[in-house]
Amino acid sequence: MVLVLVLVVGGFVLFMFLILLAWFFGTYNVLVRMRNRVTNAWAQIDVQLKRRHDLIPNLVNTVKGYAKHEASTLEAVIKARNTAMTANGVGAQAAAEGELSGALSRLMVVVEQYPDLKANQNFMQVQEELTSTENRISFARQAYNDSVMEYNTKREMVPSNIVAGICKFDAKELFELKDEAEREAPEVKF
Amino acid sequence: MICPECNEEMLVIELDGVEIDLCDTCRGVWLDEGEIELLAGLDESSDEPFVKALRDRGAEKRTGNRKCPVCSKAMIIVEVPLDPPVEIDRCPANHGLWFDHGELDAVVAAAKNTEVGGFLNKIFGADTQT
Amino acid sequence: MWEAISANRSKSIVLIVLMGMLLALLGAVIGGVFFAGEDGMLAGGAILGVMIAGFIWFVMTLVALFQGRNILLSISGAREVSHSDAPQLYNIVEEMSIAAALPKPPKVYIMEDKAPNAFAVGTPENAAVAITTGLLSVLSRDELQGVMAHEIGHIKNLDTKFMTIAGVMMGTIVILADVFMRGLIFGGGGRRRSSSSDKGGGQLQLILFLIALVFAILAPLFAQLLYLACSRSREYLADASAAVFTRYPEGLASALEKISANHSKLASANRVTAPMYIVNPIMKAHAGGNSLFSTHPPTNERIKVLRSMGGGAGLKDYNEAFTKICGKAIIGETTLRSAEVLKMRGITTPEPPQLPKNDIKRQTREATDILHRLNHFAFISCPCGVRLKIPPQFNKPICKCPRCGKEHPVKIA
Repeated sequence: MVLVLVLVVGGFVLFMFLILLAWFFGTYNVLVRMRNRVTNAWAQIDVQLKRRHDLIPNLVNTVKGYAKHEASTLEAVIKARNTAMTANGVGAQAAAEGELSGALSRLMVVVEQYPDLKANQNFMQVQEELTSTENRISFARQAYNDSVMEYNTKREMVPSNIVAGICKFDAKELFELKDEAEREAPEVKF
Repeated sequence: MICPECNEEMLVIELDGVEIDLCDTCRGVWLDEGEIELLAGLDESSDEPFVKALRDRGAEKRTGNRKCPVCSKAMIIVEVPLDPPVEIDRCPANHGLWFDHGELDAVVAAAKNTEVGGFLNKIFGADTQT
Repeated sequence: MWEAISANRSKSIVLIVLMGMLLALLGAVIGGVFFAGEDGMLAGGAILGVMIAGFIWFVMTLVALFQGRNILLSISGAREVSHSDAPQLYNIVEEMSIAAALPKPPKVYIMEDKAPNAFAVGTPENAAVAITTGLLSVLSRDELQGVMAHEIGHIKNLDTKFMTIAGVMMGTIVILADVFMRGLIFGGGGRRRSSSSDKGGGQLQLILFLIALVFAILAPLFAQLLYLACSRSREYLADASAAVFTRYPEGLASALEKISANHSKLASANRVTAPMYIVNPIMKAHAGGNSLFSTHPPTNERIKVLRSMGGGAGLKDYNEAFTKICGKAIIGETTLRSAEVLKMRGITTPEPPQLPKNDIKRQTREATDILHRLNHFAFISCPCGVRLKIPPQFNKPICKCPRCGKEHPVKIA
């Protein structure tokens, strides 16, 4: 009689334990998947920033032919690009990229004064690529922040926070720009 | 687009954002419905004689022997009330208008004040003397 | 926001199971009629029928998953474009797949058609989006972004994958029913006579036969209802996803407005492909268009919902707007709990002004030039302002500008 009772209780405990284990692994896997999404989204931002660096020589060459008097603006763009490419560390890089965005939008204001340049086929192509790159950067940031927010929520919510705590899933930081104006923009208007 | 007159691939000529198809062999011109819309709109109440011609409200004469380059249906010959009147081909499904070389010259000379004629004159104006 | 997919997915599984049961039942009934031996082995026939139905479905699903994208694209006459053919379109598709965090950007196709429309096919790893030249030539960049975000929303929400599987099942049911009806007309009579020697079995078979007949008529209708019912709520969800991806619901709203203002029909669409398009390509939206058989919700309602999001761009905002307009929620509670409130992108113009005529011309030319490039036309800009576009078939060494008479040398490939 006691033996039966022990068996029943033991079986029940074992059963509950197995369910708990299944839940634990399931949640762990979900967290891993979400964390990978965050990593991938971060890598995407880097890819797009590099794309912008690659575009700049072409842009500068196209503008040079038409806007000879804007040497200083062009130089500022090139300098900002070179700084951004060699910047080390997240903080320094973010600052350098912000600088580059600023230099680019100043260049685009200058370009407004050259109708011949604006009608140039080659320039129009570079312009579309630049617009798209700026969009890509902001969409990549957006996707990164979305994935971080989702991951952090999962991490903090009961009961998945237990798994996150045991297996040391660290919180990720949002990509925030210091300045609201900077966030809006590298809106390139022509 | 294939020329309905000589079955050859036509050139595409763009001016001010509007395209026409030009046959390099017979110098005939195809004007597509969409391009007429860009030039003059396709308003039912439009006064533009070529829009009327496209929209079934010209005087239909008879079925011609050229085929529409879009849908291959036999085109209908319509009269455009210019001074003097000009007969051109129209697709029965309103895909566009066809001007052969002679008709084109007549339109270029007589319809300078219309949107479509003015546009054709802008391209072919210097060419009509030949 | 990814949880929106999971609610969608469980719905899809229920639907696929339902359709699968319908398919098996149809197979069983038909098998029972055709393959039951003289000794009245109904069960054997029915099982054989189910197996045959299952086999047909299996083969078709395999074909659809591996070749479906290509088949659908070739039915609709779409042609693939590269970045150099259509830079802006291509860029926008890539931008949106970054925003949606797709594993791989979809391939981009273009259809030569004046009717404005777009669709998506495939799985997130292996997808394609297609757009007509008619749509491409009327949309601004923001609007095009909205449309592509909607299509990528379909891919991200796994609608396109589901549509492929459900579409194939529907196709199998229709084919089976069709084969059965033909069998009835040509062979069924003879078979019935031969087995009527056994009286009891003959009677039973006659009853089964009638059931099968009714079933064969009703099954395709029922399958289509299932297929359509779920494609409508998916449209709203894809709209919501588009708002989240672009953070700018107005782009899609004004694109939908332009699309619904045009009344041409898409030449290459049919009943199976209809649910994939951004607006229904076959029926044009009319006032009472929200019937059981319509694949798409009324476009006006979709525009109204998008415009009532009041500065927000998240799923919550969409759900609130939807509840206000349609009186019920569209997104499940569990999904909303994890959805964050999102702010709209900083574009201030609530309604973009009507395009000036020159822009329409420019966009039309951009769209047609993509086709010219695909067809390997050579482009020559004459100093007089004329642009000559020369077909690859042109076989003369010199092309004379019709306006100024300048002679341009033509490279013959």
